This record gives sequence, structure tokens and C-alpha cells, in this order.
Amino acid sequence: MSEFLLWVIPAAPLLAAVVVTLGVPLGLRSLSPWPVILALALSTGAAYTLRATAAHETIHATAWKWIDAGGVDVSLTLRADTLTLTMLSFITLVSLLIAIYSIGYMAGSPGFARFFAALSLFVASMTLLVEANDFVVLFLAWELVGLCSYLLIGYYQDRPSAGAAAKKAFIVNRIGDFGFLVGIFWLWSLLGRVVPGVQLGLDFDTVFAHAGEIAKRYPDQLTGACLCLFLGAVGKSAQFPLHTWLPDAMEGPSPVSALIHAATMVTAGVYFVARLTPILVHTPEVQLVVAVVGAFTALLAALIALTQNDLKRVLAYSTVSQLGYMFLALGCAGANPHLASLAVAAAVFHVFTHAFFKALLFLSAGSVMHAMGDVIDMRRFGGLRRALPFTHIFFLSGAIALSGLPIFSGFWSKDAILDVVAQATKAGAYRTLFGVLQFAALATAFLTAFYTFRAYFMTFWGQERFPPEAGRRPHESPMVMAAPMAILTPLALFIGLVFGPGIAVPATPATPAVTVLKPNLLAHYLQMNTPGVEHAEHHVNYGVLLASIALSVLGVLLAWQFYYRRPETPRQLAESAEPLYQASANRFYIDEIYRATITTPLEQLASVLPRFDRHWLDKIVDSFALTPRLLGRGIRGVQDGFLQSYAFWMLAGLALLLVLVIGGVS
Amino acid sequence: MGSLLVILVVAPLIAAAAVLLAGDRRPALVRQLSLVTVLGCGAVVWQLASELERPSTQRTRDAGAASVVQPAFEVKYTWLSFSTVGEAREGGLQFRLGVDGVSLILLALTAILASVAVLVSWTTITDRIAEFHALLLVLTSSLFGAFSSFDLICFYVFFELTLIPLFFIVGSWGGRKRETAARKLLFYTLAGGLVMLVGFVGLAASVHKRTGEPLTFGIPELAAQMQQQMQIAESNVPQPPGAPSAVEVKRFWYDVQFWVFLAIFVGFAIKTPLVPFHTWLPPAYSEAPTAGTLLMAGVLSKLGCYGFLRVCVPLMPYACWNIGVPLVAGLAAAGIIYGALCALVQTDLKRFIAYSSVSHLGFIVLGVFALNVEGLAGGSIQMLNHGLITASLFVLVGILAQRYDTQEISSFGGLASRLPAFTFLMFFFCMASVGLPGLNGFVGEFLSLIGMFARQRWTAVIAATGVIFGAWYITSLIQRLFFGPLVEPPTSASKPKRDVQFLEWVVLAPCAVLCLVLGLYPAAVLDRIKEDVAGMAALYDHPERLQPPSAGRSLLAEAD
Repeated sequence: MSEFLLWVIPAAPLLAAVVVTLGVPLGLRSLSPWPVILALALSTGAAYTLRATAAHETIHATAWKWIDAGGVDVSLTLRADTLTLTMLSFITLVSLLIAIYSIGYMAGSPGFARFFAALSLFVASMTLLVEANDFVVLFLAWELVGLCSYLLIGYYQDRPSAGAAAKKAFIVNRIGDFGFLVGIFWLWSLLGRVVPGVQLGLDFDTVFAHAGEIAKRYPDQLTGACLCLFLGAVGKSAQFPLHTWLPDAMEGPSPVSALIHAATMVTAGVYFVARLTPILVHTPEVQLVVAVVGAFTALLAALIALTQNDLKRVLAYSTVSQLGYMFLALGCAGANPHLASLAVAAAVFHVFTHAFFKALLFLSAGSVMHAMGDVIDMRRFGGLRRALPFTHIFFLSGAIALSGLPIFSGFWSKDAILDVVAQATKAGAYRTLFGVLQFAALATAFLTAFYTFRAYFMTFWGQERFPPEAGRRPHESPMVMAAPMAILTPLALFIGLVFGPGIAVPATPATPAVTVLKPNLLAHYLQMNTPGVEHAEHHVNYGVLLASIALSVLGVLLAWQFYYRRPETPRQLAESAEPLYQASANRFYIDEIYRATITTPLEQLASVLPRFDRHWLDKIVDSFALTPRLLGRGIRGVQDGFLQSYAFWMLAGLALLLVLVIGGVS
Repeated sequence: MGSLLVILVVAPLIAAAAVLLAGDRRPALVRQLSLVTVLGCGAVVWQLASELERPSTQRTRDAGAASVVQPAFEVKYTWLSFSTVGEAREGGLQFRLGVDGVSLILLALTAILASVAVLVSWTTITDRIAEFHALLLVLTSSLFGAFSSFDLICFYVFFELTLIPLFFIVGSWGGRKRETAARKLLFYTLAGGLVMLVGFVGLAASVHKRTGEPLTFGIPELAAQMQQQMQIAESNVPQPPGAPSAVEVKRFWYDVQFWVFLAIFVGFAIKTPLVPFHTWLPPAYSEAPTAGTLLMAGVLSKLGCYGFLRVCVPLMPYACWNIGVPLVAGLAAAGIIYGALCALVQTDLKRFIAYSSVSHLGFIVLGVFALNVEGLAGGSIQMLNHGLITASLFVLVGILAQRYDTQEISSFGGLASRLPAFTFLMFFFCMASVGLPGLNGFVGEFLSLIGMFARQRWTAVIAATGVIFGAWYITSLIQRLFFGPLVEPPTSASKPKRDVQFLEWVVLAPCAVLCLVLGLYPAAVLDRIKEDVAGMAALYDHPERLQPPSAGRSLLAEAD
């Protein structure tokens, strides 16, 4: 039964995608959402059933042998442990809500059916990704996720910018995939050396079982392999230096942004690194890289988000930044292997809460866009709280959760991460490094609250202004869009509180045992059955808690001061620090640097090659062809048609032969 | 069962004659006859596949159990006997057909793409129909022959025979610059083939001279004898007085293989083609009619890859190890990137697919010269995958070119809204081409790369960057063709802008289904080639035995 349910989760949306596609030539376009919603509801049901019933042991379900040649033995096998089930629980639910929202949002769009087919395939791929039992199947799903994001980002086919953004997402992701692929090869060849002569699958259990042995015999190579694999996660989760595709991905319809940023795609990298914990504990260097990349990205993206005027871009950079947070948490195990379990729990907790509030934020941003006639530049509208009262509430809820204001979801998960970072600074050779990272994390916490509420005040407060595209009077979104947001709102606000903090009275000399008042449900669940994650409970760290409260409140207040009370201050600030402002507004010129140093040189090389082909290589070939002609031209003189000269040549030839024969005899 | 192989070679020839007799006046008959013939050949291949799978099927043991090449269902006719005693001592040129797992794949590919070629010509070829179809059938026959030959000379004859019908197809039914293209194709590959023939003769003659066995060009026998010689070279057992020492034996065979490999390499490298021997390809592919292009890109390019696999890998382990891995695999990896970069800037659709095809052929050769089970299996299955994908892409380009009379990429834009079904199919095959897992291109590329990684890490890493470049040029193409506002070249009223038609669906839908099935269930192919590939890979299990005889002396000095 559990095996069956495990298959239902990816298979139902996959089937729905096929059904919707087949429905197009039959003229059933307008019915497209229904198979998808049904399938997603089925998946959600299956995921929650499994979550409730199958937590104690890992379930495996094999379909057939996929690639089987020589030392490579890959089966299409699914697995579910508590990490998978945790991921599934929000992927399926949030996707379902987004799909319902899309019925309203996408109504009347020409590619209605295409949208729902791709969306369904997207969810199928993502669920397959977290259910994969080995590296190659994971890679299959990984690539499918990339494909679906390509299809959805490029949804508005008549816009060249959509094509460009889709292309960029696909290529940048492929750079990560290249690393992933090389990592797989490397790991496979190391595995083959440790266990020679046996046909080995690349399934997680096998690899994890031999990770220690590999680490002992080939520590450097294992580090290299893991770095390659991490490159894959960097690409998919939009971390520096491969973060540039995600903000451009805003070209897709808003529900797609919600899907990519919350439930699917970008969380894949975090999942993957969390999944690799049993290997990564053997390679602390890689974990340090993970932490540094994460912290750097978190800060960088937060700085960029400060000055963006496109509401969705602010949210996009906040996603990049929050993902950086998660990687930072995961990397903390590099300071101290005992932190691994806590680190994974904190990162997954943040993925979990982030999915809900980020989905809500994007859906309400979509609702704003819907009302504003597809305008999303915050400078062109303002004071929307009266025109869009419900959207206002929804967005505010998401913003509160994201900024980490006390007792709401983001607060708890961010606190868990900050606590892990704080523990990493306590001991070990990398104390100082983690001290710097902790500073970056705290700064990011402050910036997050600030830019989130900057966007909130710019959009919903101030003087009421509408762009001309909005029509006469903007209208609130229809019920089918409002309902999913209404469901997400309480989840976004409070799910962190419910699943989150483990509250305990710390041990004192009087009471040596820790008294647990409320367990950390999510961590508990995760630790029940996830490879590499042992029992280690996170309890609220009051020092970190206070710092985080202070920073987030400060951020919100500053935003209020700048963008509500004295809206002229930001401009003055920007003018007084022009280069800094420009750097942030232009995303630190990273796109331009890539264009100048990588893309353009390669394009120039590419444009030279065909000429080289035609004018050099081909000429060499042609020169061989000239040989007979030249030879012919040389001997042509001999055949001049005069009998005398023929007689002369005959005699000469005879003489030569005679000389040779006589010479040979004597 | 051997008769089935003879049918494969002979039936298309008979049909070609029949088609010529039917003549241009009866185009329907010509087309139907051709289609029935190629579909019939497909059925024969199917039958062969199911027979080969039976456990009762005996692979030939004529050459002794030692040979790594063991075809089933052999047919042998001595063509020209060198022995004066008559048939008592075998020796000479043989017409020798057989089949093993790897050749079965290519027979299947030939049958599929020959059917596709006949179908795409259904409405596009209106001029000298009988001649065209006769040439197509002769080409099919010679391809079947080449892929089932187990004698070097027999292989060579069929290998070169393919050029003649192809020359006329390109030269008579091609585009504006067809004559130059056809001439270059003919002479370049013919020249390569001749050098290769010298290599074949040299190899057989050396084996004959050294072992005293009757002169034979049979691949299984040569493989067995070569293996035996290499075992002598490794043995520490003292040889009988007068016989050459083990070191001498090794040195001799090392040199023979070195030179023979280089000669054969020229032929196959041009045929495949490997960069930098590819310059005949872009004009030939872009000028040929769709049927010709798809057969060239789909099947004929595999003659080179197949040749490496069939001739070099089992017969010349020293050379494959010492020159093949660094040189040929290196060229393959370089070609993957070179082809991809060239594709990026092409302005002509057919040339675009042509260069992308060059790039992807690199993965096949890379797999073959990984010289292990993974690589050889990957290379073999990639031959089938690449053939299917490239041929389908050329069919699609042909559809566009036929509708609009142009294949300039820049004259199109925003076609997604105009031709949705075309867009869907193009996108599907493009994704198969860039190796999206779940479709067939991935399986072969993955196995080839992982095999090469085990053999020579950096070559594989460089080749793997092909996944980035592949994504780059393919998404660029898709963006240029399908995104943005609609741009169409002006068309004449006689050619309405129709989306994919029924007949075109008949061609492409089965190819798409095959791509999907092979992507998800490659075991259907991998299981059939497992045994053959494992045998060849076993030759390379002990790298230390394959090292050059003495490190100090230069190869050229030894070559005398």
C-alpha cells in the first residue's frame, strides 16, 4: 500500500500532464485545470497519508531496471524517509493551492492548457526528485525540473524577454548540472575502487554505507566529487555565482514564480545537500564552502533587494537570500560534525516555513499585478490597501512571516538557523570564520525585515496611485484566487510556531535534566528516519532570540520611517551614496561581468570557428585534391601529340630500364 | 537464419530493379513498392532480433571460443580463394554475413530510417521518382550489407558502395550547390576509404605472414589470432628455439597495430566524421534532399563509429589503448565543443543540425574509446539514439523548408503561435538531442561519459561541458524560431502554411515514441549488446599488458 501511494505522488500529476496535452487537439482546452487539480489533490492526500503512517521505516518501491551496463546499475526506484515526507508535505499542498489560484489568474490566456500541463509535470518532477532513491534518478528529476521551469518561464512566447529569461535559466542550471554529472561520475568511480568487481548501484544507501571507506582512502577525491555535486545545488538553488537566472525568471506568470520559489525547483538544492549529509560529514571542507557560499549569497541578495523597484524582483532576491540562509545552516556542520543533525533540521525547517510564506507573497504580488494590469513596478502604484483590502492582508501576513517578526513562522525557522550558526562559532578551528558568517547572517536578518517592509509600504501605503493599464478602478481578485491565499495565510503565519520551536527550561544546578515544554515537532519527525540525521533537539536559544527580535523590529521600523513617514529620505540617501546605490540597483553588475568575461568571448570564438572551418580546414582538404591536378599538369607536357617526342621518351625509358637491369645483374 | 541476412541485402536490390522497371509513369507504385520493401526489411530485422535473443541460438565458435567477435547466423561464400589446394584450406576473400548485438542495433536503425526516408520523399520528390527510389533502395541494401559484414573486405565493399547511390542522390536531387557538395563527399570519403583498405590488407597480411595461418579477412578469426599473438607476447614460457621471443612478438604487433590503426583511423574519422575531418559534412548535409540528409546523418555517420567498434576495438588492442584513447577520444571531446560552438552561430537550419550532429557524434566515439563495458555499451546505444534524433530533426527542418522555401533561421520567429504541433515536435526532439534524462539521448551520453571518466578523467570532464554548450545552442535556436513576435518568410499561395500533416505525423510520432521508450527502458537494447560488449571490454582489463613494448625508443624508429 505504501509503495503504491509512493508511486501515486509523482504519477498522478504526470498522468494529468499527459491527459491535458492530449486534450488540446480534442478541443478540451478549457477543461485543462481539472485533471491537474484532481491529480494534485490525490498526490497531496497520498503524501499526507504516508506522512502519517510510514514514518518509521524507509519505504522503497522499484519499477524497473533503468540503466544497466557494466558497473552501472540504476533502477527506477523511489524511496521515502522522513526527509522525503517532510518535503512532500509542503510541495504537494502548496502546489495544489497554486494550481487552484492559477485557474483564476490564467483565465483567458491563450496557452491555458500548456500552462497546466507544464505545471503538472513540474510537480511530478519535483516529487520524483525528493523521492529518488539514487543519484541518477535524482538527476533525471533534476533535469526535468529544469525543463519545466524552462517551459513555464518562457510561457509568454510572444515576448522575446521571456524567451531570453527561459534560456538563461536553462543554461545556468545546466552549468550546475554539469557539476552534478561530473560529481556522479566521480563518486561512482570512487565507489568502484572501494568495492571492486561488484556491479554497484548509485543508490543513496550504498553510497552512504561506503562513504566512510571512501573518505578514508581518497579524502581529496571525495572532496572534489562533493564540490562538483554542490555545484549542481548552487545552480538549482540560485546561489552565487549561479544566482543570476532566478530574478529573471520573473518573466513567467506569477503562479509560476510562486511555484519555483516556494514549492519546487529552488528547494531542490537544499534538499539535495541535506540528503548528502552522511557523505558531507566526511568532507568538512565542502561544508565550509557550503556555509561561505550560503552566507555570502544571503548578504549579497539582501543588498540587491534593497533597491529593486520591481515588486517580484524584491521577492526573488529575498528567495535567493533565504536560500543562502539555508545553505549557511547546512554548512555549519563543517565546524563541528555533531552539529550536522541540528543543521539539517534547521535548514529543512526554514525550507518548510519559507514555502508557505513565500508562496503567499508571490500569489499576493500576482494579485497586485492582476489588479494593476500586469504592472509590477512599485514606483507606478501605491496606497493599494483600500483598493485591494484582502490582498493587503495576505501580503502583510507573508511579509510579517518573512521578516522574522516574533512568534510568526519565519521567526522560528530563522532563529533555528541563527542558533546553529552561533553554536558553530563556539568551538573548532573555524571559529573566526563562522564568527564572520554569523555577522553576515545577522545583517541579513536586519536587511530582510527592511526590504520586505519597504516593498510593503511602497505598495500598500502612501498616496493612492494606479497605472493607466489598471483601468478605471482596480478590482480585488476573484474568489478562486483569494481562497488559496486565504488558506495559505494562517499556514504562513503560524506553521512555524506549531511545528517549530522546541521550548525547554535549560538545565540548572537545581534541575540537571532539561525540561522539555514543547518538542520541536519538525526536527523530531525528521530525526525519526533520515540518513545522517540523529537525534539532537534544538531548543530556543534566548540570546539569539533577542538579537533576532531586535534586528527584525529595527528593520521594520526603519522601513516605516523611510517609506511611510518620510518618503524623501531614500532618495536623499541614494544621492548621497550614489555608487553604492547604483551597485545595488544594478545587481552589482554581475550579469554584465559574466557577459563581458564569459558569454561574449565564447560567442566571438564561436563566430570565428565556422570561418576557420571554411577558410582553413577545408582549404587543407582541397589542397590534397589539388595533388592529382598538379601532377597531371606536370606530366601533361609529355603528351604533346608529336610522334618524335613519343619516340624520344620511349627510347629514354628503354635506356633507363637497360641501365637498371644491367646494374642489377652486375 | 542466415538466409534472413541475405534477404536484407538482396531484397532491396531486387526491389530497386523492379522500381526502375515500373518507371516514372507509375509514381504510386514506385512509392508503395519501396515502402513495402523497407518495411519488410524492418520485419526481417525484428525476426532476427527475436531469434538472436533465444537461448538456443548458437553463436559461431568457428574461430574458437577465444574470439571476442562472435556473430550468429553466419552466411559464408568464398568469393576468391587464394589457396591452390582448393576449398580444403580456408582462405581468401569471403562474402560473409552475420549478426551480433551491436550490428543488430544498426540493422534496426537502417530499417527504421530507410522507412522514414521513403515516407518523407512521398510528397517532396516529384522528379525522376523511379531513379530516386532505386538509389534509395541500393543505399539501404549496401548499409544492411556493411552492418552485417564480418569480413574486412566484404565490409569495405559495402562501405564504399554506399557512396555511389548517395553521390547521385545529393548530386541530382540536392539544393543549389549540390554538385560541389556531392563531389566533395564522394572524393573525400573515398580517399579515406582507400587508405583504410591499405590498413585492412596490411593487417590481414601481417597476421598471415606471422602466424602461417591461411590468409583470411574474417574479423572473428583475425580477432582470435591477434589475441593469441598477444598472449604469446605476455607469456613468460620460453619459446621453442628459433621462434621469436615474447618481447619481439610484442614489438612486432605493437608496430603493426600502430600503423594499421592510423590507416584505418583515416577512413573512419572521415566517414564519421571527427573534427577536423568534417569539412565535407556541412555542405553535403545542407544540400542533400531530406531523405539523403537523414540517411547520411542518421545511418551513414554510424558507419565510421561502427567501424571503430567492429574493427579497431577487437583487432588492435595495443593501438586502441595507446593511440585510440588519447588521440581519438581527445578528438571526439574536442569535436563535441567545436561542433557545439559552430552550431551556435549557424544561420542555416540544416547546417545548424549538421554541426549539432557532429557535436553529438563525439559522444559515440568517446564511448567506444573508453574501452570498457559502460563506454562501449553507451557508444553502441548512442548510435541508435543519435540516428533517431538527428534524422527526426532533419525531417522537421525539411518540413519547414518545404513550407517556406527557405532554411534561413533569421527569416523565422515566433512560430510557436503559427505552428503549435511543429513547435511541440521540434521541442521534443531538441530536448532528446541535448540529453534530457527520460529521453533516449541521455542514456548513451551518460554511459559514454561515465565510461570515459573511468578511463581518462579529464577527457570526460571536457566532453561533459558539452551538456552546457548543447543547452546553449539548442535554447538559442528555440528562442530564435519560436519566441517573440511572428516572423514568416513570404510564401507563395500554392503552399499554404499548414501545421504538421498526417503523413508527417506518421513519420515522426513513431520516432518520438521510440525516443521515449528507449529513454525509459534502454534495457531493451542494452541487454542485447551486453555479451558482445563485455567480450571486447575484457581485452582491456589489464592495462599493464597494453603498454608500449619499451619505453625508451621512439615509435618511428621502431617502425621499420
